[in-house]
Amino acid sequence: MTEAKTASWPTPPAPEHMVELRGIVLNYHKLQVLKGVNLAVHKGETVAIIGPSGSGKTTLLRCINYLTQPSGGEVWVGGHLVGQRPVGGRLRPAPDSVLRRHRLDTGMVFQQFNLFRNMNVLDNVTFAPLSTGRGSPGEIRARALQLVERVGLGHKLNAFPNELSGGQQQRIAIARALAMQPKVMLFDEATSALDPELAREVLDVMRELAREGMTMVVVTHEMGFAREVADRVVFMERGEIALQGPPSQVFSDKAPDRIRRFLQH
Amino acid sequence: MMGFPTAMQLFLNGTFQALFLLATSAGVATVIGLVLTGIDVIGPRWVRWIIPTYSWLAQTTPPLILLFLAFYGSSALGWQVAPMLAAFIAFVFFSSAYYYEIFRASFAGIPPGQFEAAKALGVPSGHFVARVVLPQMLRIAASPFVGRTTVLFKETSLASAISTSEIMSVTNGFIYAGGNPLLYVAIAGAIYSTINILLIRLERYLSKRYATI
Repeated sequence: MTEAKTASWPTPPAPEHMVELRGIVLNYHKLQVLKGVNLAVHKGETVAIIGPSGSGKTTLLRCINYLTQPSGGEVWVGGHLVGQRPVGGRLRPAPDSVLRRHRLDTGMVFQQFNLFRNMNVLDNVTFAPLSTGRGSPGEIRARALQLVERVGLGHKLNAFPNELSGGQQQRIAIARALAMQPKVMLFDEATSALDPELAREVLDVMRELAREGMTMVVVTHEMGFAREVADRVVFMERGEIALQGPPSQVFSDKAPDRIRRFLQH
Repeated sequence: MMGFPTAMQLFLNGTFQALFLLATSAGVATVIGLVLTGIDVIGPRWVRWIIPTYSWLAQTTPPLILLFLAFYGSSALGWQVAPMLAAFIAFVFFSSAYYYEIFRASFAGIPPGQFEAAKALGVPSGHFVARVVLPQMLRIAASPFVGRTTVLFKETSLASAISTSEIMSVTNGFIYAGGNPLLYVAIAGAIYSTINILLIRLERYLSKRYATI
């Protein structure tokens, strides 16, 4: 009995692992969307997840902040177990109030931007830090102004989302996520809804962020970005990691056929 | 024939009574409609089928029947209920259902990605509802809400059937007393439309002022 208990007791990951996924399984009805995925993301590393649609890359990303609750496995972010907590010697799903705390370590950027439509740019960026008490109102405001400036929209502080282009909205969404001072940034096809021109301004912000040492997990169709910016590229297929390695390796002529086929599209 | 000052006083009083019935029943029904929406959205599953059933019942029954039920029904059960109170109960009963439908549809009209964004940011749900959900809901609901409220105001005329002293009973009184029906009906009609036009104007003004979404 005690042995089984110790065996199932989770040990925290190595400190340099900012994100560690262990055996993530997700069942949806009879379909196994994720088949026991293991992945470690180092501090300051940018990992690009690529793969055909339906391969589970977005689902895997959403498991990192538990927007999708995996059916099995462990998610570790910043040394903390996400979405679960030990109760009476066993791991149980964490209640919402605890989960909310777990999510403070991750920032997320969505394909559809998802800005709060009734708030101007400044309020969008300050709302979450203010309502979770991430510093004094003065500090939060100063930080927000700095972030909005950094994504190049200092002149749009009072604009509402419907007055901004898609690219501008996405840059504000990035600033909004950064305002919570997350340890990891998750990007879910952040440029898929944008014209190439507008996508570029968003990718520039992401590139800058990667250069500054932010830990990033990026689900993307932008192969150029993955090749150029990612430290590591993860290729997913049918709910599993089929191949991972530095871009030079994944994008090389020696990569397995099915990856080369996917990249030709 | 009554003198002009008395007639005006009676109509003024009738208007006041109608507005009072409108304001109290619309006010209470708004709160109930919002609460029902909240329950429908986050309540346990077993409660949720009750609300659509009630809503269907309240919207399909003619208001006049509800009015009679509240007034004659209660006296048949041995409670003496004043006409105004009976009208208030009947109006709250059916307009809560209409307002609930409006709020429920407005909630469904909020672009859903914002819910996930708030979750991912770790925003407590109370703050999120107060600062994001409700403002957007009210903005979407404003126009149908005012539309329904103008109908409700017209429906206050039904309360004359249980002898409250609102606009329509005053009008009836004059007509029974031998007054010119066309004249008095025209006066009543003018009162209803004037007040409804003011309501609609108010909504347009507010919509323009808060047109950010």
